[in-house]
Amino acid sequence: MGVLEEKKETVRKVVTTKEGPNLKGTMIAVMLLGGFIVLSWFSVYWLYMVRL
Amino acid sequence: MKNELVVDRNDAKLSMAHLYIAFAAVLLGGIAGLLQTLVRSGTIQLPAGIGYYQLLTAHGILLALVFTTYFIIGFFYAGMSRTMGKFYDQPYRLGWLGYIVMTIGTALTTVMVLLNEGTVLYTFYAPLKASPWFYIGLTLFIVGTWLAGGAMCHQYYIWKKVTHKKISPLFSFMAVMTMVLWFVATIGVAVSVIFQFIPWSFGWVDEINILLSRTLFWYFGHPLVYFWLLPAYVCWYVIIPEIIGGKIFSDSLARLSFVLFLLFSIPVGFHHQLLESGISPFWKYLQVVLTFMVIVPSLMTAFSLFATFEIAGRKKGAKGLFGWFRALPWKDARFFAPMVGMLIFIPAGAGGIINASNQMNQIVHNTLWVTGHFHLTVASSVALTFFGIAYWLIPHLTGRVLTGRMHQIANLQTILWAVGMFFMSGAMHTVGLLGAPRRTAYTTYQEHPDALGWIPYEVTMAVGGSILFIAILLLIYIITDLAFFAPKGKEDFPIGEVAEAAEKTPVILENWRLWLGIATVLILVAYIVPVIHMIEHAPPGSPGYKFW
Ligand code: HEM
Ligand SMILES: [Cu+2]
Repeated sequence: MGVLEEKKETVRKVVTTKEGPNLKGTMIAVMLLGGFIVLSWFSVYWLYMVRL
Repeated sequence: MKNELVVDRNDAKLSMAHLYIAFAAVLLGGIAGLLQTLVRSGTIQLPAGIGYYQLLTAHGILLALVFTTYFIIGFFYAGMSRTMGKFYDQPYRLGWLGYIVMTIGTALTTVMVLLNEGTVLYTFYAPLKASPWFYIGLTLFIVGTWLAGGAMCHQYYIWKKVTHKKISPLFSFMAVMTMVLWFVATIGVAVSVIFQFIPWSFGWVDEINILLSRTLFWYFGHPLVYFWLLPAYVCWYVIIPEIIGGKIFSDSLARLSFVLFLLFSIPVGFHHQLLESGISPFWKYLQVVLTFMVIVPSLMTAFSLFATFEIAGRKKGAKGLFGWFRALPWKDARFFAPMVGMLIFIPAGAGGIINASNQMNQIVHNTLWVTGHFHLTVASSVALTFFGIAYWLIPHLTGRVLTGRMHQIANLQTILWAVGMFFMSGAMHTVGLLGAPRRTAYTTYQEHPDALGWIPYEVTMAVGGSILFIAILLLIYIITDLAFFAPKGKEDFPIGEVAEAAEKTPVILENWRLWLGIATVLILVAYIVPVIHMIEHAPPGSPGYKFW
């Protein structure tokens, strides 16, 4: 990638972060998703421990 | 207008030829699935000397191999033609050749299963020994897919040469990446079938190294599940944004996640062999760590999809934290089926992480939990997405339209599928945790109280299976209508545009040498030492057995 192109991109980045989209819902949804995974994991882990 | 773009007539024929076989396989496999649940719950006994395991072999092959592979290849031909333009002569002819070879292989293997000469289940684990023609059929099937992959790679190569573009259309890039993954993965199973199973089943050698054959199988078996999943991701990343009136969140992120799937989906087969003696814990550990790396591109995908939905919803004026969720086009069958598939992927993915964890694998290994798991992944997330694609792809290719009424029927199909799967897969998960084994016909283990306690769950599975079967009949009705009877017209082939705010795609993401190089290194690191050990200190070879 040429130097010129890289420069252009940095300029664009600055512009877009200023008016970045509102992604609050996405953030929370992904966190809930992670939480669900951890919860399921630990519930089967618990089953493993009690059967050990 | 870009949506004026139509898949070339000849390419459409090639694509449709694949889709017909795919959906015929769904119908036949669905009948087998229904019968399985009825047998397992003690509701019926199979007539006419049909064996339970014969049926199960047919179910696995028809749905997990024939339906998925034919659909994927048909979908890719259409999408590449749509995004890169009509197939050039040579790759086009190669595509048909691949179709013919694949179909001869499929027919041969199917006949062997029908003759009860191949009742070894779709994973054909040694020492179960089928007729050599069963394995030869499988080989032809794989060779056919290689020709198909070759056709796509060739098309891509010519396109790049002719257009001098450094970055290919996202759809085509993803299709080629999926086929590259398939090439690398199928080497394992091809080696095993050609050098182990065929000579052994012909009787040229007496014994087989089971440990090695299983290892080669799972070298292929795990990327196989990504071969099913990536085409669904193509729909989620590239097509869904357009259908919901949004934009692709980031082209680079989409490509990067596909690159990561190539890297991390192959050197991980040992997570299916955690209970296999003969592989040292160190190598299992290493491969489990690599397995967990796949969580990275998976969460990237989740993030990027949610973001696409939220941005699209907010543009339409959705308010609040989750208003965008309600603003999605739930009545549009092209959206609803894949979206339900995506939602089902949440518990499906969580289950996968449990399966791959060493200790918990001991709880779920070879139980119905596993069967419940992949009926969520491949049989729901992937299958529903493929159905959702077919709803617009088939009319697009046959010059018809998906009418408002068909949208409603298709949505009913999706709901029935989700409800049926809730009962069937839910019961499978639960009874699996209670210890009920998979791949087992009706038995009470001499009235053992534990086994008797499983029966109500088996009945729940049969209820779910019956609902699913109705959904399959509805699906076949929809597909037949769209292919032959729906009103003539023009149905869009939706291809999303990248959001204006997204970064420019770095060329390095399309550097095949680099990614294939890293993939090879990872594979060698993960496999070379244990495989050499399996050959040098081979366990005693096994003769073949035929228990059916
Ligand atoms: C009508 C819908 C379906 C029903 C009722 C059904 C039912 C079943 C049942 C009961 C089993 C387990 C039998 C056992 O372990 O003894 C099974 C296995 C399996 N199913 Fe399905 N299924 C359906 C759809 C699908 C679909 C759409 C796919 C894939 C796309 C699929 C793929 C598989 C596979 C790969 C197995 C494992 C076979 C084996 O263990 O060798 N099924 N199915
Ligand atoms: Cu796996």
